[in-house]
Amino acid sequence: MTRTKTRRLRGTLILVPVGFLMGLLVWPIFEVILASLEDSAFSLDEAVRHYWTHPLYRTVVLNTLKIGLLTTTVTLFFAYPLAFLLVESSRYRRLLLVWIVLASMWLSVQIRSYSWIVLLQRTGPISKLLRAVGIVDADTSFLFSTEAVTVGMVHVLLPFAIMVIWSVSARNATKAKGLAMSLGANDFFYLLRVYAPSVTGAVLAAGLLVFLMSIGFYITPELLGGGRGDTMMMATLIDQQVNQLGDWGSGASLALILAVAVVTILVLGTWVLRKLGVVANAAKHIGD
Amino acid sequence: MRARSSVLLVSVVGVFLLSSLGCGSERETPEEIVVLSYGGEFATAQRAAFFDPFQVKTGIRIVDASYGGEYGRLKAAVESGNVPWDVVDVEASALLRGIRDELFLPIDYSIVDSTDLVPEVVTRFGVGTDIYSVSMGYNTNAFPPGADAPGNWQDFWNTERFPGPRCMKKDPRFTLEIALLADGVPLDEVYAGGTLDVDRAFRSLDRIKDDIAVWWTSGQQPIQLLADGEVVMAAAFGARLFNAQFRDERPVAMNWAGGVLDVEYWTVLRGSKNVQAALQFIDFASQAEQQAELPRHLPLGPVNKRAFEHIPEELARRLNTHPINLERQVFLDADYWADHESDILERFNQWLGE
Repeated sequence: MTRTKTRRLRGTLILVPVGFLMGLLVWPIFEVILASLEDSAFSLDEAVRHYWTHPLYRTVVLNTLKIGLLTTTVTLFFAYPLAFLLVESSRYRRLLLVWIVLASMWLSVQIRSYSWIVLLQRTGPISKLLRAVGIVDADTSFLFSTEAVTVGMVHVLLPFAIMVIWSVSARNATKAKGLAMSLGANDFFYLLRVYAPSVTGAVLAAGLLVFLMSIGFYITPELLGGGRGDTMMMATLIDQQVNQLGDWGSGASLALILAVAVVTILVLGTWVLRKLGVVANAAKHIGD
Repeated sequence: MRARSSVLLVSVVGVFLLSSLGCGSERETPEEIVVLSYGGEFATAQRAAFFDPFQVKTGIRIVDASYGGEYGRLKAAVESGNVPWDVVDVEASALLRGIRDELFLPIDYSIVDSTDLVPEVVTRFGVGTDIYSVSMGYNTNAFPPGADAPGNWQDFWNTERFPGPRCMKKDPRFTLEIALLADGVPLDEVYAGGTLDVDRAFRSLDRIKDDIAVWWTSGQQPIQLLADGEVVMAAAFGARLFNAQFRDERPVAMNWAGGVLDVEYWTVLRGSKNVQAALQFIDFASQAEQQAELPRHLPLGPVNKRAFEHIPEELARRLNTHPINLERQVFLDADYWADHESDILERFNQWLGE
């Protein structure tokens, strides 16, 4: 077939699943928006004021932001050196490490959260280990707290951060390293003055991605948080409104607020990253 | 060339459409029906007493689904017209709310034989299935059974004498009643004047809030947490606590005193696909033999008066509805909760988030 014909054919075929997605994904989102505006008893500015001043919603939003920022910080803290490890590894070791990271990502989030329950519980291995070493004097449980939720979420989000940072830095790293070494840099200098500045953009982009993913989390905070008030996040609240109370309007409104917040932060974040001029196309690599 | 790509387009669209038509087909004579219940040990007991015998008798298989009593899910299913369950097990206040929201189909009593059932559980839209309790349990490794062991809700609230994390149901129902009992309100005054003293209950809950490590949503959760020692005391379904102590011999102890009772009902949702088979099942589960079978697996109070003819005395004595146990518990006021659940639930969720 000629070039134009293949292109036309491709265009035609793409149309079908895209159309399907439009119908099954975009239309329901419109329905949710409609539901949030219709069902709730408020007018638009009444609604805004309601959510802004309602103590429960305020608490939940603050919790969500707090846990999101905490998770992002801890994730980046670990992702940074791990991505560096990937860059520096020999081919076979790198392959092995990439597989370990990917395999972890393929496991179900629920299973991984449950495994943290087993590890962190009062009679679990971590408690016993700390007791044996003498750090704690009785079996303690580390579950059902903000810390436990953070640990679980970092576990799930770390592979994403590592892959983002690595995929960006890998492109330039070998070249840059060769150049730096040939100019007389030692390892330390290379790490601090060459590698670190070049991946800052990737790290920020990874941070943005991790933060946006973390504020929408549901399963991990539910399981590891114990249903308590200080670990209640937006998704839990939405679930409560819809499933427990049967209040469609409220749940839809909250979901809409969350969606708008995510899009806003994404747009702003990408703009800031571009403005910083650091890895001008960092946002493009998020999709890789 | 134009023709070829449009033929391709039509055929691809056709494949997509055909594949989606496969789901959601109706059945003439059902080979199976879906029963929504509370999962865990309770579902296992129901399977032994109701589901499997029903299949043996009629050949209709029962698929059980589980939930934690979320009223919103039922409402969502009926409103969307997509009802995946044929029979739903609901708590008493959910029954009343559902009647108001017109979620249920009226029960056809020409199919369901209600002659031997306790009159209070025979209602237009729901047939009672059993009487359950929310009771106190504690971990016997933390507090060895004996004179010094915790015995009532005041002990549950007493974190100096009985230190350690607790868990309670993430639901103002039962929890508020328990809070009042812990505050010293006598059993027969919990519903003084036909209402709950909600403010007093929340003040009481404030005292224990920091020690509640987990607010559970699924019935098996507190049993697991208690047996593992994750919590030292729990407000949980009494029947499951009972089994953990006596049948499974886990380090758990409980007693019926101070428990809060409630009735659960079989209902059929509006829009359910197999109404006839659903009613057949409800009729089967209401018969004396089946009602007597359930307590053998989980000590729940039957609702069929003649069931006690089939239950041996030592088993009957351990049930939550036996007179010696019944008088030490208080019944949840389903009418009160049907009226006030929405408001109190919102206040409760707010209180949790503070």
